[in-house]
Amino acid sequence: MAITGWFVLLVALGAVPVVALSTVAPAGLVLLGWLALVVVLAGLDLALAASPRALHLQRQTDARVRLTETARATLLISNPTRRTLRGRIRDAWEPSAGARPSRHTVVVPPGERRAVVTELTPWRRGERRALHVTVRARGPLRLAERQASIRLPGAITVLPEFAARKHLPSRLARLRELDGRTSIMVRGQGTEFDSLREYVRGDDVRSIDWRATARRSGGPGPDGRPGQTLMVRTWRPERDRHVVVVVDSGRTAAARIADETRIDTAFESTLLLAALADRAGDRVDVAVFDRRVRGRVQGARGAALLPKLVEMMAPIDPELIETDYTAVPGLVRSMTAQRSLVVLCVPLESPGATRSLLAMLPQLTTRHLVLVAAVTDPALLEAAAARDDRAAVYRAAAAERALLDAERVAAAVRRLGGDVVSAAPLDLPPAVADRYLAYKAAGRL
Amino acid sequence: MSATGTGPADAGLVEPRDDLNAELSTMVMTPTVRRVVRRSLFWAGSIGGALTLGVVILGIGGSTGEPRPYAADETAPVGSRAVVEVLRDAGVEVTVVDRLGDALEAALLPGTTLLVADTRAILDAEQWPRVLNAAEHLVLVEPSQPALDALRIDALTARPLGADESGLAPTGLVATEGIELEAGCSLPAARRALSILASGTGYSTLEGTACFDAGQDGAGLIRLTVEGDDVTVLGAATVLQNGSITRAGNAALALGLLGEHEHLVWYQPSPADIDALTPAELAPDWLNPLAWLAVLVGLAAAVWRGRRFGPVVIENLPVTVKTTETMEGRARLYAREGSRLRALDALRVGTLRRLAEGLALGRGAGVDDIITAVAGITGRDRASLRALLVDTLPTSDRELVVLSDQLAALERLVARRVGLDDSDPSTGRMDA
Repeated sequence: MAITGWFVLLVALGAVPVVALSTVAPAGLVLLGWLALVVVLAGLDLALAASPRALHLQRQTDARVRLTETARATLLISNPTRRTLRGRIRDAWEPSAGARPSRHTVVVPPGERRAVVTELTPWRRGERRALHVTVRARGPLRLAERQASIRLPGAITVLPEFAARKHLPSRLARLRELDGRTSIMVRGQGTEFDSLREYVRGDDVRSIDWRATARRSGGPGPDGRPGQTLMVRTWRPERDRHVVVVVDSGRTAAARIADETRIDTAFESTLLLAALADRAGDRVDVAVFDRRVRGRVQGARGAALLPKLVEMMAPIDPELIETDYTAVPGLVRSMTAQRSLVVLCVPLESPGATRSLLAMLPQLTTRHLVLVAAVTDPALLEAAAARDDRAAVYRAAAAERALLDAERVAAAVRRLGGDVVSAAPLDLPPAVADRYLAYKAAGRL
Repeated sequence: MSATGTGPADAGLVEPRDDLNAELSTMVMTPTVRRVVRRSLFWAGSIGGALTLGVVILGIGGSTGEPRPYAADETAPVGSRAVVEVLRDAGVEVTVVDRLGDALEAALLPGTTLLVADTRAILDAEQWPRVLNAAEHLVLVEPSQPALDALRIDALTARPLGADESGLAPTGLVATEGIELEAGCSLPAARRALSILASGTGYSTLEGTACFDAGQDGAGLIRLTVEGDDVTVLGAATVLQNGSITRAGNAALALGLLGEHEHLVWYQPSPADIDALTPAELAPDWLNPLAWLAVLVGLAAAVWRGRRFGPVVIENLPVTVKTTETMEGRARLYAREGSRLRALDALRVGTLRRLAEGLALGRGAGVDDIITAVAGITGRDRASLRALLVDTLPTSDRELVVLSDQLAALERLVARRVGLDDSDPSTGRMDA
């Protein structure tokens, strides 16, 4: 039960009879009479309101939405009672689901059904839930309302934003260049033989395959006479390589750098790399790991890969535990048998915190090409550049110290045979993609 | 890329289920009125019971206020309910009033005794004369000297009856033992009483009859005749009190005095007799109900605004950690300990690293290589560069700030000379 502002106003209006009738009747009695009248009216109003408990409610919610985009959560309200439901409805979504509007005004005539649409613009990844629906039905006099909360669970999966997808077209263009689909035909080290075709003007003369030309010359030329047709070899980058991405979801992944947690940056990098590598014809396997495997996508290719990845990533939040790096080589072994590109999305901060990472790294580098993708904190760079006063200078010194530590760890990784990419959160995904393309061009995969 | 693929979450579009409606009744979270009542029955009962018990205890224990001396319905020892009840039983019609106007009106009946017990000194000099000649017999209970003066009665307040040497004795409020006084006069009521055991105020008179004389303390009772009507000044007033009426001849005196006529008006002035208009009298009588109404409107508004639209939805937020905490902590540590050299070293190493990068000297470049390269590109002499980049020890924070500024300036200079765009802030991307 709830009362409305009209009820309050009606109680307040009692001042008029209390003053006006004070000459006729005792003011106290008039007051009591008025209150009794108001209470009776409110009771009558309650009795005449439609029962919110009798309503039939039903949800129709979009299954998933990408972060920063808007989904619709529809609530169907059927009124099986014989009274018109007039009132307000609250569809109780979690705050981070970004439900708008949070209150709906509805009128449902008897025996009919109405839909109210709540727009969800979530600001957090994962599964956003709705627990219940609260209905307030007011009576015809607008004095009192009947209220009931009805348990009606709903959920929507909020996928990672994948803001880095804007970098994809330019990287795909670079990939096509590598792929030889454009006119550039540079024979690089380690590229694979693709096919033979006829020479066209502009081809590198060094790519002419004389043996094939000789074989081909035996036959009739284009004009029926034995002709001189030059054959060239085309090359394409290696295909069907294996890319394994391991994302750290331990406590350091919870660190928020430039308004994005490390794990979100790692997810962005992973998605961009996966999209790119998949187009390049390589296999991409992804595991999210702290002390146990939190999520894993293996063997997915083509159109199924990215949906599977975002679906896997959506509900994963960092755990406040130390990541067990010693188990990572075993994890990689379980995902690939051949030589692969292993991308580790881990923090490179202080030498102390990365000791176990450095200890296990040789096990990976002996078999695989290892790339460590780490986030640099732009706040550190800013602090290192600000030298305004005494306090700022000390901050700059501390920031330089932190940067130096990260540099030392990166140097240690390089010494152990790994490779390092580090950049600010927004720059890391394209940096990882670029490094992948560089490997591809160099035939190092 | 498409965010919607095939997956189990496609079940988000829930098909209507037949058993949904059956479940709905159990899905309503808000308890029904009946359930609320049943759940709160115990507490409501307990609180109600406690309240009832309290009221009952109060009722048994009597009124909790101050005992009112000489009040006709007061059962405390200082009250006078006993004598009033006995008089009523004896057929005297007792009217208890607390306003002067009511008292005068009630005394209009022929054959009336008017008792005035103004223990709180409420009546003023203009009101007192009105009680004179209002009834055949006026009994004044311990009147004050101003009252006697206003009434122009020939009597003077002497001393408290039964007072000790200090002259202090409680009058009225506490039923003390009092002193025994002999009648010693021809007044019938006094003679029948023979002697009384009472306290109060002694009075002296020149014209009237003094009974129960206590020597220099004055008399316990004085009878005068003013303009044909009897006036009794009762100084030994405790004879009327419940606590002492049974002593000696107290009861006989009280009943004899007050039972003389068939009507008795028992008048105890109340604050209502005060002539000045109180705020309560000035205000219109709807003011109080209006104030109550205002309170109720406030309550209703609180309920209106305070009623929650369903339960709060609880959400577990993931933990996020600010990364600059360690950096800030280390900076504060440097500042507090005054580790100037350590701080400067960090700044110098950073500068050297960036200089080596900017000059394309590679990671392995030594300090001397860098200094040579910088000297070459900037034209500054090596000694001063070496002093800035390696040797100078800061002795104060001021020097530290100056050195830090010089390092930053050197970096900018080299960057400009090398031709890198100085306005482009580094993104921290290290692809090497």
